[in-house]
Amino acid sequence: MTIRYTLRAALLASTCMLPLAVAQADDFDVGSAAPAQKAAPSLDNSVEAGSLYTSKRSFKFGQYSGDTKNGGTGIGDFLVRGRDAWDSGTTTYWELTGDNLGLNSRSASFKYGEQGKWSAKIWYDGVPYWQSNSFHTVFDTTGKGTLAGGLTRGGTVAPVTPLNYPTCPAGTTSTVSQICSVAQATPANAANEANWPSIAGQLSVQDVKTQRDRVGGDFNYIWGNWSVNGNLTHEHKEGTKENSMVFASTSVSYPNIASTAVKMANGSYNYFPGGLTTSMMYFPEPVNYDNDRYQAKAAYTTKKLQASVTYTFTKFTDNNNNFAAQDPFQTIQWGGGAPANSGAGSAGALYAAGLSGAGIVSPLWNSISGGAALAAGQVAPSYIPLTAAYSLPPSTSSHQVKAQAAYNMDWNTRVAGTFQYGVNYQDDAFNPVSNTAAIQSLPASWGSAATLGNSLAGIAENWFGNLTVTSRPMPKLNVKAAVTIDDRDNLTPSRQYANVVTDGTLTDGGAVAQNLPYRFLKEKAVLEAGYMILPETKITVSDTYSIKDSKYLSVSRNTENAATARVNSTLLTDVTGSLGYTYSNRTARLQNCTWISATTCGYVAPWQALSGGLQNGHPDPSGFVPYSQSARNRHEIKESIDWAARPGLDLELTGSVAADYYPSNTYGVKNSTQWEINPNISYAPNAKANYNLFYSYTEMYQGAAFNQPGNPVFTTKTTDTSHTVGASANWKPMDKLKISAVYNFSYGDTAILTQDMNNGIVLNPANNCAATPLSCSNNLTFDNMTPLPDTKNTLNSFRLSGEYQFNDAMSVWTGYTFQKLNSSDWTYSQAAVSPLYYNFVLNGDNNPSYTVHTVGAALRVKW
Amino acid sequence: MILRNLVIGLLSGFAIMLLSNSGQAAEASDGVTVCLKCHDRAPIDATAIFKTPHGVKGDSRSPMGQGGCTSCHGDSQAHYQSTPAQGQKRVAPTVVFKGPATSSPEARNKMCLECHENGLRMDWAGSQHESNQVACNNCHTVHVQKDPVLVKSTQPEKCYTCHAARRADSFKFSHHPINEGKVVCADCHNPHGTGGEKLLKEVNVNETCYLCHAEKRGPFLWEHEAVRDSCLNCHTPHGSNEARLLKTHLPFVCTNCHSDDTHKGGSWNANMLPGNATTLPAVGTATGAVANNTGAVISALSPRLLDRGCVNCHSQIHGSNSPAGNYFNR
Repeated sequence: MTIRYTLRAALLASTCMLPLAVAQADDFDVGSAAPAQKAAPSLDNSVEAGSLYTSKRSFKFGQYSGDTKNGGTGIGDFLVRGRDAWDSGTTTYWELTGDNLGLNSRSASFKYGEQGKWSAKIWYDGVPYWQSNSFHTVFDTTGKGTLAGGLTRGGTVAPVTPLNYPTCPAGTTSTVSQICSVAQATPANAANEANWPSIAGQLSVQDVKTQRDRVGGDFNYIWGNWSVNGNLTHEHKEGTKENSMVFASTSVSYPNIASTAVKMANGSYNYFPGGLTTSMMYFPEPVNYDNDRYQAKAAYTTKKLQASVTYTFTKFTDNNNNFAAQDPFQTIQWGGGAPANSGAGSAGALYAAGLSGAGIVSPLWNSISGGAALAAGQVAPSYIPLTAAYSLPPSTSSHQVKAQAAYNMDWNTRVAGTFQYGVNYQDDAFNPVSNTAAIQSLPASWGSAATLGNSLAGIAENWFGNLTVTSRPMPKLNVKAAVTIDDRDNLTPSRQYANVVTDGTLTDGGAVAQNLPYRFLKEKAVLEAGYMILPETKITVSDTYSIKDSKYLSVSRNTENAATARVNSTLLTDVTGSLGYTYSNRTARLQNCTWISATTCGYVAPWQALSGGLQNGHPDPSGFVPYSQSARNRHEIKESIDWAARPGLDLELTGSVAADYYPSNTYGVKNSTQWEINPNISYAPNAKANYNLFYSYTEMYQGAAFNQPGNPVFTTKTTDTSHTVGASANWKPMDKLKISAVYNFSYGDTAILTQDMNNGIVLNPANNCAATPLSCSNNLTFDNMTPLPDTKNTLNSFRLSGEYQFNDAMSVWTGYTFQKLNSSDWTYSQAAVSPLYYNFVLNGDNNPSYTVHTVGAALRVKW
Repeated sequence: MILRNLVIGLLSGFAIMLLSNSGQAAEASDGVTVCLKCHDRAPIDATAIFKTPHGVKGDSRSPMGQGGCTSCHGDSQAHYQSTPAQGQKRVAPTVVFKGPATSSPEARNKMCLECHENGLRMDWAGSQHESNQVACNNCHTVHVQKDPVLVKSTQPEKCYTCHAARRADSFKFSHHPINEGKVVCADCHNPHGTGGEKLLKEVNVNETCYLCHAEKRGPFLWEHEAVRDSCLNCHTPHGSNEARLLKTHLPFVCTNCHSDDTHKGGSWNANMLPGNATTLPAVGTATGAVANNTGAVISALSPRLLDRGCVNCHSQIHGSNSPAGNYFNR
């Protein structure tokens, strides 16, 4: 009985306790169903096939996708993958992918591995780039610089040679570099002008595009705490790109257009710069590159220590070393002796002073002494070669070793460091200085500059080091200290080269030029501390001190100190935000300055003695330092705020403004600002729908002052603004149907305001421009000029797509896209050839505006 | 007696309860079983983890090869042992990655860095994102078969969440092919932190650009100092109203530095464009006339305003290897 009662009591009591125990279990097992621990292997494979119809041909629409033609295109994608069951104990996985198979932007990859042991991957990626489908050029499509059919030197376009530059009509006079100076309706030879339409009709109109084909492989092996990785990539890029070159040289070539002062209606003299002193033309530059990259890496990882060493070798090969373009402007090549050019010369005209001055003996014109009068029938010394010697990017190679290590010390401190050394080599064969034989053999009087050598033997070293220590000495406090050194040191030999320009002339009074191998040594130290003043509020202060030492630049050293204060906080429940302010001050130390004149500083004094001349012959004026090097004060504010207003509804606003002032700049950029404002609303009322609406405003402003030696000062303000609006909606009106709609609008505007044009400043009133307007180029006024119009781009893009799920294994996708670009930019839609600019051939690119519709459908099968 | 039996019964019942709990503890020790009793279905279905590298039990480095769910979510005993009253929420797990009880960024990141402090994450500590209290799961989604931030087509959207202006940039007239799916943010940036600048993949701007634009690397015989200093002196890589990702319109991108030049950059104006130059009025008439003092109307076109501006002639502006290229003409 006792026992029975005891058991009963125990049973009763335990029964009473049981619900408590069960209750605990029930809390986990609400549905009392056994947990699905045995997940099936992944079966998320799919194949998609269909077609896409594009309504109109547009290179810009399909610039990167390759969808540039109207008509049908195939849609093809696949994703096939597998992975062992999660708890099978084995770790094999693999994945095969293919995307955009119907376009030149197609890609594919395959990877296979045993997770935690090894993996291997191979891949292919195609990247097309369309630059134009309306490129006009006098050259054919061979990429060899030969003239297009119908255009031949010597003249097949009656009555005179093809693109022959104009000469002054009978009865007019021409001075070198200047216009025909006797009244005439146009400066050009009327017969020549008449040829332009026929020439235009014979230009070659080409697609300009490149295709990158990239293949790569990657292998990883893991062994305990060690892992090794091998990676290689090969890229071949082929096609053409738009390029242009100039023949002959400044100051000594063709009859010009308005390169000097002209009298305005109000009696003042207006200076129109733009004096076209050369012959320029566009050509399709052949692109045939191979770029190989090999990388090997070993890494060691423990909780305390992580370290890796990486070696990378890259080799860039340009399969074309140079481009030799036939000169379309040339009539007859002068083979020496007395000039026998066909142009109707101007008796009595003088050679430009710079040509034959300073005792320089020009190999081309040494039969004519400086200042000599041209004989009747002679043309100014603008002989141009049969072909141009245009260099293409040289082949290069690079070795790089990178070592990284990080160590977790006690007391919540971590030390991380990176060291990298790289060396770039370039020793491609030099082009000749000119394809004109007379120039190729420079006279002995040029000294060492006459001997060019065969190649550069270029070498540049790159050093990089970084050491960062971070610590959390107290739970609420974190600190960081870091130092960084980044050095690019060009060790290429610096020597003198004959100053041969554009295959035509020896310029700058025959000055030699010296290559200046720049060096940039950048050092930086950072101190940062963050403290949680409240559980959800952190204040961070930091100071960054940086030094940039430069070699061969106008500034030898920049130092900059940037102080930042920032607060990150969860202001209220569901509201997070940050606000930061940075002030930085940069100083610039000029190189030793040799004052060439009262206003001009030859800043390269330290090595000027070595070079015997400036690299580009353009010493800087007093007060001028490029804004990237000059002293600067910067104020920068950044903010972000995010409010999760209610479940599914998120409101966000981010923005920043940076204002730069260059207090020491008399010329160049004097101030600039950048703005960004970005409100965003996301709303997901339920699992079946989500919506997004955003707007972005960006602005980049630069205000600059110009100094043209001896001329008035202008200021130019450029403002690039953009407004972008986007709205998207994704919803599932029924379980089997998904619909997506996306609209984006982008408006970009570039405003250019050139000021001080109406001040009527006359710098050299002593000169009597009224009497001799063509010789008073320093006697300038600026009046009655119309600012350049804004350039504008407007993009409207709308995409509607839907996917209907027939069953788990099959669905159909259909989509419609509308995209419209309006581009208004004076850069575009200039005729390739025109009497207005008869000695240069533009690219004639059409305005890239387009309106394109696409409709597509595809069937997707899953298994 | 009854009291004694009652005590025995209670103790027995308590023992049963303990046994019951000890079973749970045993299940919990693999860090999976207990969790899946609730989290194998909506609203918090965690089972997608088994389709990811994190869910591979056979890999001893994987969470499932170690402590299961607790590898990332912490021990969480209070969570699975708590017995909330009806309508009350269970005590949160030790580390919560999203929702109302989200753990601090430091706590969340600590769990990830237990395994992922090597490789690309070696410089996470002290990085810009870490300093701004970004947590790994602000960008990464672990409980899906494919983390969207690791997929080319979806990665940018994740970055735009905070960097909204970069999304606007991607719609500008010239842009890298981000919307086209050929370039993603991580092609240039390592968001986990680097020793270099701007979270770039390589140690500086130029080295990063050379990854794709190797022909610009050089060294060249004639180098353009602005190019060698930084590509960003002329280009804005995320998107531009101008062609070729230039910071502003040509030729002003050049003249903002070369404002001392003799090419008269500052006075460029609309009269130098073809459309205007062709309609020049006669001498003595209104604004815009361009004439010499003899009365001839002449053209005032400047090739530096057409097409590529200064680069029309100085077309090797990134550097030239021609001995005749010191003006970047060849």
